[in-house]
Amino acid sequence: MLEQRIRQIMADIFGLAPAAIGDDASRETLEQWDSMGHMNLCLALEEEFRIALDGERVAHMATFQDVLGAVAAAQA
Amino acid sequence: MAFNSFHFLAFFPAVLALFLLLPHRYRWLLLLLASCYFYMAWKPAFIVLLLGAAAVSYAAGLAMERAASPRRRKWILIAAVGALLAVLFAFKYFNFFNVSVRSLATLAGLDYGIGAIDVLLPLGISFFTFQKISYLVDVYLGKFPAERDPGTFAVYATFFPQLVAGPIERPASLIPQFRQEASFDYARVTDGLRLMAWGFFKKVVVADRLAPFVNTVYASPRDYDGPTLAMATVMFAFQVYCDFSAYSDIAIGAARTMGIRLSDNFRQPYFAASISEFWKRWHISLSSWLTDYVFGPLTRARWIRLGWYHKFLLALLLTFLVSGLWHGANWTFVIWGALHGGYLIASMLSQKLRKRIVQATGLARAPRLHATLRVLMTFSLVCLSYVFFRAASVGDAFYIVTHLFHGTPELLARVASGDLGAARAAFVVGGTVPAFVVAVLGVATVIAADAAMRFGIRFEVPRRPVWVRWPAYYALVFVTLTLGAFYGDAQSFIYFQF
Repeated sequence: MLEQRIRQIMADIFGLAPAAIGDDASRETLEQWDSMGHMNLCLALEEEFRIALDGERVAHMATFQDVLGAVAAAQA
Repeated sequence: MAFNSFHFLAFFPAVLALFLLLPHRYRWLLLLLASCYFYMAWKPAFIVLLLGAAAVSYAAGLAMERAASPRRRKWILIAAVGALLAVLFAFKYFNFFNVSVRSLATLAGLDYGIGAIDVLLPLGISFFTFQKISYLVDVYLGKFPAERDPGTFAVYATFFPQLVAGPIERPASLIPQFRQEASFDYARVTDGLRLMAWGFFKKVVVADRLAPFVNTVYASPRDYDGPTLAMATVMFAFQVYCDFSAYSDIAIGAARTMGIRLSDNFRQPYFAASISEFWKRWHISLSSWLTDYVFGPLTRARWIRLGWYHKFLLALLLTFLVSGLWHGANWTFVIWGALHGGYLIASMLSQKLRKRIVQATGLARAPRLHATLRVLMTFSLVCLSYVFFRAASVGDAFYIVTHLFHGTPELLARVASGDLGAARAAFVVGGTVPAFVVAVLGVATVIAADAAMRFGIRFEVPRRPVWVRWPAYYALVFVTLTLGAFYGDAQSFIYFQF
């Protein structure tokens, strides 16, 4: 499932357990999701799903839901 | 006025006493007058600059809110920020810029007539300029309403604890606090005084005792060999940390006695396990300012026509160049900034490789060892960048970097064979052995205190019984007064030059 895979990727990048990444996870709630974390996350997502994320979405991505949306849009 | 001066030691208790005695509605006036006096104690004429910058920011804030159109709002922002930056540029960067342009002109065979301007750098200009810019931008973005009361704004713009060397505060954090009435809270006042005492210890006993050794070596690096150069660099790492964090502690402590909460500026930075983490623990108020007002906007800028990845890299590099330049008009600072930008980019590109190395060497199964190695590695990278930060010139910096290990095996061999005099000659340069011992013990104390805070070991001195508290305070003050560097040995704060 898409959500599962994304959650796992975020867990790997941020060094957390997948359970720690709730549906309402965001840059505010996850300390590890800083600028560098964001960058590494986007790179990992592009590689895992073989997609090219949209620049605007990357710049404004701030929550778990945003990430789901960005990946879904890039796969479309 | 410098914190480590008898002037301040007389000034502060007087201001605090008056503050606690006066009713709330007069406190703003006391703070404003005290802050102006504080600033004028150095060079009276520059108060015009400080108040002028405050007036421009105040007026621009109100004008932006009253602006008829978004376009007009934008132009007011650009004009006000432009004016502030122009003044900063004139005082701080004109000569640097001029010299560089002249070199280029000479290369091109052109006759460049503009000479250098002889100008003294107004104290704190980098700090208060950045603080006012954050006010203007936050008002423009609607994140904070423009302050209507000129008195409150003036206090915000001149507040003496953080005026000269930060922490750089956002309007939303600071302005509302001046409107609140601070009741007399004994615990809060003593908290603040405790923090100030710790700051004085770090500055006067540790930073200023390290200074002579660092200054001697960095004044003529070519006279010294690897071990001495390396030692001076590590000493500088602690000198600049103790110096600057002391200033922040005194600022935060002083504000705390008056019921004002300033932001943390340092969180045990040398315990960071990565450069990325380091920047969340070192000069936090500047890093977050740069992230919010330079890096963030650059990554979202539509006019930069690059893919998100390259835009990010460019934003990172530019932000660190700004950070370097903010510190000073010198190529050494630019290189320092670029180095840190480079470190972050390298860490990103090498993530996979490093993960593989950690797995292959079995470090993954020894998390404490792994963490310790990461901390040591990060500290080494930071020290390497300090060579550029501290060196008088790029040439000196490159000399030091290329000779850091030169002569180490020889020295080790001599010390191993019992020749301790060789060690003394190598390390105790520019001072006496007792002074060296004080400096080293001072550093050890600070590391121990930071380690305790980092790993959550709480001494909670304030909660201990009287017979523990009072001797502890007495010891701190006694050590500060007896082992501290005063009069001729006293050094001005490093960040005063920024």
